[in-house]
Amino acid sequence: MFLTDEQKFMLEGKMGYPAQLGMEINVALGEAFDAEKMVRITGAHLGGISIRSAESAIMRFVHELADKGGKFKVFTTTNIICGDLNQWDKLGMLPDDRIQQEGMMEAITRMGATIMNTCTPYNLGHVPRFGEHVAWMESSAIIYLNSVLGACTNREGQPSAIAAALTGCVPEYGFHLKENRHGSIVINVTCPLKETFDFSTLGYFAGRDAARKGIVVFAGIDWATNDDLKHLGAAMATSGCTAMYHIVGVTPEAPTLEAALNSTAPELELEYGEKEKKETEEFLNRDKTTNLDWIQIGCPHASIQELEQVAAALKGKKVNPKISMWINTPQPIIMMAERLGYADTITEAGALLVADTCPINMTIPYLQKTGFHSVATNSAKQCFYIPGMCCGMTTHYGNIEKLVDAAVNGEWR
Amino acid sequence: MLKTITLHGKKLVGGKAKGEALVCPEPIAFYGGIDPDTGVGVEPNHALEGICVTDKILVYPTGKGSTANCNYLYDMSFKKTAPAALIMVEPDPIQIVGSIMGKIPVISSKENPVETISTGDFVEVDSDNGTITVTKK
Repeated sequence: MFLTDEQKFMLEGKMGYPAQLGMEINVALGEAFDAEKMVRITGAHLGGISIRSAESAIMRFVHELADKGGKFKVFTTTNIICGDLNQWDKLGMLPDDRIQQEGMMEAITRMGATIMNTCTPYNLGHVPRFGEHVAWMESSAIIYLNSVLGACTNREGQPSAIAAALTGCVPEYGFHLKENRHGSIVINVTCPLKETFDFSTLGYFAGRDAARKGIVVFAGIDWATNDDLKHLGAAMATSGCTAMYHIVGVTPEAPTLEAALNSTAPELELEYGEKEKKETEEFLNRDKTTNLDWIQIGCPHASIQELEQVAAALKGKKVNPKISMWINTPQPIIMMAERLGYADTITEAGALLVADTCPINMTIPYLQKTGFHSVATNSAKQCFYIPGMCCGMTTHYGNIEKLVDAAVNGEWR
Repeated sequence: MLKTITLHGKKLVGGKAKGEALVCPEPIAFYGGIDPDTGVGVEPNHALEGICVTDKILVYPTGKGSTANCNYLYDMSFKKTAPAALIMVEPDPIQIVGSIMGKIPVISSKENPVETISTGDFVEVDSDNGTITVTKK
C-alpha cells in the first residue's frame, strides 16, 4: 500500500515507538481490507476510557504509550468514564475506582487528549464537517457522525483509534470511501413519529430487522431534531451493529431517495407502521411488573434541550423517596443547565444530574453496591445493554412523561 | 507416510508459529467467549466451550462480538494463554488489532481451512510468506 515519506518514517520507528506501533496497526488493517493508501484525519474520539470498558490490558497499553512519549497528532477527545468526579463520595462510588480512573485520564491527557468524557462529543464542539475524515469510537457517536454530519469514520476499536490519533491517519477503506456509503434497504415509515422517544423505538426496529444486511434509508420522515437523530442512531447501532443510515430529505447524503440508493433498486423494503412500533415498544419494555427503583435519562448523554424538557416535566413535582432518578450528561452541559435554571428545577424535585458517566460504564462492584434491581429508561440502547451489563437489572421502557409519572408515583404503570 | 498439504493465504499480522490445530466451525468472540486467565472457552453452547485455545493454531471462519475483543486477545498474550497463531477465513479488524498488540501471527485464507484442517493436525503458519503447512495426524 502507498505510504508517504512521513508515514514510512513512522513505520520504521524514526518518530518513536508509539507512532511506529500506530503505523503497524494502520498498515495491517489497510492490507487486510485492501486499502490503497492512508487518509489524513482531523480528529479522534476515544472510547474505552472508563475503567469498566478499558480492561486491565488496555490500561497497560495506554500507560505504556504515554510513558514512551506518545503524542496525539490530531484533536482527540474522550468518551464516558466510570463515575462523576464531582459527586464520587455522595454517590457512594468506590475510592479504588477513582484512583484507577484518574490514572487512565492522566495517561490519555499526557498524550494530548481533550477531556470531554461524553458519548456525545458533537454536543461539546467536536463537530467534524461534511466529508471530513476522522477516527471515532462509541457506536452512537459514530453513526451520528456518518449519518447526520456527513463526516467519515469506520467503527474503530480502541487500539485502532489510538493508532489513528498517534499517526494522524487511517487506512482508506469502508466508510472513508464514497462507494460504501450508499443505502440498500428502504424502510417506509407510515406512522407519525411524535417525539424523540419514537425515534429510539424506530431505531431499535431498524437495527434489529434490517441494518445487518446493509445501510438503511428511511422514507416518510420529513422533519427531525438533532436529539431525534441521536436516539435513532444510538438504538440502531445497538441492535444492528451499524454505522450509518440515511433519511430522505433530512440527512445530508440523502437529498432524494434515488441519491441515497445511488440509483440502484433496494435489496429489501420494509414498512414501519403502528403495528411495528407497538411490537417494538412491547419488546423493549421487558420488565412486566410495576416495580422500579432507578430511573435513567441520558443515554446517549442528554443535550441541553433534553434537560429543558426534563426540567419542565419535573417542575413542582417530587420524586418518590424510594426511587433514584438520574439524568446523565457531560459536566459542561450541567454548567449550562445551572445557568439556565434547569438544574435547580431538577434537583428541587429530587432528581440528580450526574456528570460524565452512565450505568453500563460503571464498575460491577459499584453497581452491586447500589442495590438497584429495576431500571426505567427512555433509551432503547440502555434496555438492550443493562440486563447483561448491570448485574441482571431489568428494564422498563417509556418516554420522559412516563418516566416522570413513575418517579412521582414510585411504580411503573 | 504423513500427508502434508500447503494452503495459501494473506498476511494479516506477520510472524511464524507452529503447533497443534484447533478447528472451530463457528465465529469466535474472545470477549465473553474465552476466559483470558485460563484460555478456556466459556460461551455457553459454543463449539469451544470447555476447550483450551492456549498455544493452539486456531482455525475459524471469523470473529464476532464487541470491539473489546482486541483487548482480550492482547490480555491473553500478556498472560501467556493466547493461541500461537490465528487462521481465519474472513479478516476481523478488531481481532487483527488485538493480535498486533499481542504479537500473534494471523493469516486469512480462502482455501477452506476450516474444512481442510482437522483438530490435532500439526500446522506451521508462515504469515510473512502467506503459507499454511498442514501435516495430517
